[in-house]
Amino acid sequence: MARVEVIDPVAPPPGNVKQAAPRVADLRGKVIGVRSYWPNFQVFVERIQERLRSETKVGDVRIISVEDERADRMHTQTRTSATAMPSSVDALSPQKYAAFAQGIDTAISGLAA
Amino acid sequence: MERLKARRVFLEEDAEAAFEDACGKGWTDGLPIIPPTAARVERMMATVQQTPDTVIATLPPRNGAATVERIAANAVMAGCRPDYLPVVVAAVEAIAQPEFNLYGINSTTSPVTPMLIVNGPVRHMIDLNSSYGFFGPGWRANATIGRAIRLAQLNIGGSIPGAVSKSTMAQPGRYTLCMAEYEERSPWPSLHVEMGHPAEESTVTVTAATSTVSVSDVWSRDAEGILTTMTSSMDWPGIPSLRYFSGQPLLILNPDHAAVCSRDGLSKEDVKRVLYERTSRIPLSRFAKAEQQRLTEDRRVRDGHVALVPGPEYFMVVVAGGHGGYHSTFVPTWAQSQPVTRVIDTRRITPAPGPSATRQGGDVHGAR
Repeated sequence: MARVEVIDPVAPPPGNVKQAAPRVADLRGKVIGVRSYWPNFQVFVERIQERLRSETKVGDVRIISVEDERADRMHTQTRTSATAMPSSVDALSPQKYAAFAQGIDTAISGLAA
Repeated sequence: MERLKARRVFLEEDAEAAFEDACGKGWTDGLPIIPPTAARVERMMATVQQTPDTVIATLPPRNGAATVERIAANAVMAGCRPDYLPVVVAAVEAIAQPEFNLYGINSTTSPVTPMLIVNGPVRHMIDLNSSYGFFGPGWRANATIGRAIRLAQLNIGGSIPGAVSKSTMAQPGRYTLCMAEYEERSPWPSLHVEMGHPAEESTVTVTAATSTVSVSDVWSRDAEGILTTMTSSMDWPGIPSLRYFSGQPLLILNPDHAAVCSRDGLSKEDVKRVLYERTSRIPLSRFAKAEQQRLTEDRRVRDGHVALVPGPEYFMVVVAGGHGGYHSTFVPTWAQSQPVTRVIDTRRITPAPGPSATRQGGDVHGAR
């Protein structure tokens, strides 16, 4: 059948995509960090922590949670203009992330299906 | 010299085969598209000043470059007329602002979707519907502008349902959600004037809508009654603002409800104040036990009650809809997003000829 040339509506990903850090070859003795940002995900994360600690030889499993900061943030939000609303409620401070990252060897972050 | 820089690909020429082909390529929302040939994209871009390769924004999570020609290609596919493109371009710029949090919107489990609210003279220039049935089918500008934004989210931002967008159910508004404010029948300053723009400027405001909720009150004859019905329909435990104490819940009052409120002496600020007062007394007992515990830990409970949002300024109120039926709409918004307004460059738009519902004051429906 005949075909017609069209403009591609799809944008490719940018060329400067960050590469993931190399996977660790062995989890034995390693400190695993897990980011939790969702109340229901916290249940899952705590189960993962429990099983990794009991069933594997990982060094430790540490969880960082937005819940840690949430309550404080609720009471420090201020508005600056008609449309300026409080910043994303699910964000952890970069300083906390950096400190957390320095204390772990590898990380699990996010939901997956 | 060839102006268009975007990659060329091929589609089947036959209309039915082209649709199948586009579906196979993952370009569509499930509805038929117009193939974005170079000629069509060129015609589409005649209404904007920028060159085709101008990058308006990058759209997450793919961080694809939303060039003018790529936006135009998606607008062609959506069925836009060329004079709609300045609205689409301004809306793309708006949704890409960090405070709108498109990354989250394009990937969250929530049904949230960008909702466009257009203000100013462009409403009449391109015949956007702000009157009877403005959220429904039958009006090309509303339908295709909103759809162009959805296709841009898909094809430029990479918000592929299931694979990237984890919205558990999504919502019908993810096909298209674009309205104009019925400024001529509003007793109050329009949304864009509230935001600091001159009335004669055209703007698009994007907000993150999680649903649209019809609120009907045909009995009340005063502001007290109408706003009692409105607020009783806005403070249920499952809406995102309650959970996060943020967001900007939107109330779209129909012109008759708004007129009654104004007749009873209420300014828009007064209405927002009443909305705040009436949604600040939600009994804690209405929440599930886990939510009660969380709200208590967050120090959100005052005298056994919880507030929807921190203050009256968090509410947005606009006026739109037809006359004669007392149906307004509440739009709960996603708490992790802030509304963004951008000016629409209308300099290259030629007003559409012929009668228009909006140009005739919105009272003549179907007169296009």
